[in-house]
Amino acid sequence: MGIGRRQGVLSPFHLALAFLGGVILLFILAPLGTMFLHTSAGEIKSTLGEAAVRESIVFTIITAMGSVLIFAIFALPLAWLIARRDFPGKVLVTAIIDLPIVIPHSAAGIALLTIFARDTLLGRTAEGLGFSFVSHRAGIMMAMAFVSLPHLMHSAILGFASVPERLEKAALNLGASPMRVFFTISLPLAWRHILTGFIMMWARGMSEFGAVIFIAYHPMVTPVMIFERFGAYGLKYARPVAVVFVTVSLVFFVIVRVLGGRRVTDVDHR
Amino acid sequence: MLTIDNLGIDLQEFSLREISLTVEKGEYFMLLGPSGGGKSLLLEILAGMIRPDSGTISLEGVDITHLPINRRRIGLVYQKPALFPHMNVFQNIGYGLRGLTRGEKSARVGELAEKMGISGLLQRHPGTLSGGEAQRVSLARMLAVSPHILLLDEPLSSLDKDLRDDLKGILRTLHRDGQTILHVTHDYEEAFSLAQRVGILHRNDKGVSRLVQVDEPRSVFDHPKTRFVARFVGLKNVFEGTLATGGDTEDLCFTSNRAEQGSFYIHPGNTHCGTALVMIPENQVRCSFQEPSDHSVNCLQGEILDLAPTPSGVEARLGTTPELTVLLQPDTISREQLHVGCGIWADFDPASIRILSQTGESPPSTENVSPENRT
Repeated sequence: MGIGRRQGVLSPFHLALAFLGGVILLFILAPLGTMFLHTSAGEIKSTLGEAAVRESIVFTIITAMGSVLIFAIFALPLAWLIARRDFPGKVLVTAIIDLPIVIPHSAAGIALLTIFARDTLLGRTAEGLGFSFVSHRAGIMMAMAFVSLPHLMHSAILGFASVPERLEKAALNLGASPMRVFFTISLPLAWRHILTGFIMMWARGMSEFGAVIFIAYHPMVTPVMIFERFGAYGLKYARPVAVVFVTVSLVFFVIVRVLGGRRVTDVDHR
Repeated sequence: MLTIDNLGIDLQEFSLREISLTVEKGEYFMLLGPSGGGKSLLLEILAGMIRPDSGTISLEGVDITHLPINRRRIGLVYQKPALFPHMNVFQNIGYGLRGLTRGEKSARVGELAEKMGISGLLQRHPGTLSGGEAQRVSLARMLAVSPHILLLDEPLSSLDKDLRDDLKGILRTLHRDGQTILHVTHDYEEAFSLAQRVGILHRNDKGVSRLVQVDEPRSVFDHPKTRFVARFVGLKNVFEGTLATGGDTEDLCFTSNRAEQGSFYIHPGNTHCGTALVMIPENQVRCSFQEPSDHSVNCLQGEILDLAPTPSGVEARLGTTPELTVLLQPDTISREQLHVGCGIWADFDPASIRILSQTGESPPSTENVSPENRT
């Protein structure tokens, strides 16, 4: 449509492009759509009636959100440094950030278990403090963060890099401390990208199965529950949980995107 | 008072060397130089955004060379105002105001806005402001933190003429109120209308920029130290060379340093032998189609290379040796039927030539040369 309006006529080449692109959209939407169509309202209603399902979804959403907020405290300063400063080993640091993307998530789970298990130094320290990473929300947050941090990092680096450096310098020139400049200039102006990063990291964390299952089968995050239902009862019982989870996630993402997006467009006059 | 002592920086593209300068408290100092000459770089060094390789900067007697940007109290206003896009005008102006109650802050912002003539814009966002409005907000924001010295980086160059005049008025008011200002520009006319003293920055063909002259605007115009300065302030027909006795005439023979610029005679007047920077005033050159019968010792033949109309006449570039620029009246052009490519005689009186500056044998110059004026 856009192509046609801008250039007047659709050439056969553009039609071919549109067709190929359509296949991609179909590839994404068809399985999801079919899954929804194969699930009756009655199934959804009875699934929603199960306390275990409701609790799992709420637990998953909140745990993923927690992992985003906790790890953002460490991720955002690093993103700013990467975007703004040159330091020795910067290439290596950015490569390390990408590492979780390239390793299998099950391997990530094994790696996390190796360092956080009860008989390790960190595991014993945690036990001493009265909690455990294994089979605990803390461990699940770790697993979620491990595989999803690159999404936040990438967005945040892009965001900080897009803030004109002269604005930060102008703020310093007005006598503001570097910390005040970070919180009043860099962070608000990179907000749109950072919010996208939050949403991507949150979504990725919520949907994580591979790494989480090694750390904690219980408390049961919804992706694990879907897998468990499929293993124990088959497709018909796993599907309604998947449908409810996907729907709740989508609703949340839309709400966050609209709220966050509106705030940003209100203030962003670049 | 700002004192810059022997400041230098080497970058890949160019360098600044041996920059020494003092801007007195309450002074309006203008730093002039062509684009790409390192003027903005110097301001960024002063503001602490770039570290110099050598030299020191002190402000009010305190060495600030290694002080972080936010503790220098040097306010830099950019050519393109760097307003914070996520804050309105009020918040922008108030950004640097700390430790005030809400009422005090509001009063101070209001007072600055009033002074800059932007009281009606306080709730607007930077994206909705015109260039002139944004520049005033930027100035107000800077003044809010009462900097010891205000650095202005070509604040007028991106504005239309009338807005430029308005802003000049504001800058003059600030100066009258005692604000110390260091303003950089490539426009000599700005210097004339605002500055008490000017410094000329010259970048040589090796990419090294140095301060070549520091003086009052009128003195620089009347007595430029180098051919570059003379041309920069808009003087034409300026030649650097050597004066020597001229054989059988009482006039001195001036031989240009550049062979292609030849030689001509200068009336001794109060001048003497040695190296000199001289100017043939463009309105003192008589042009004619034929060799004038009563011509002086300086009668040159050539052809017209270019004719450029200006508000005060037609500027003709003549392919004589040396090449001259002369100002002709339109009726001369039509009477003599002058056109590009036609042959022409240019004649100028040895007594009409101005000696801009001179070194060499006695008598010593009567000019008052202060240390930073030496080149």
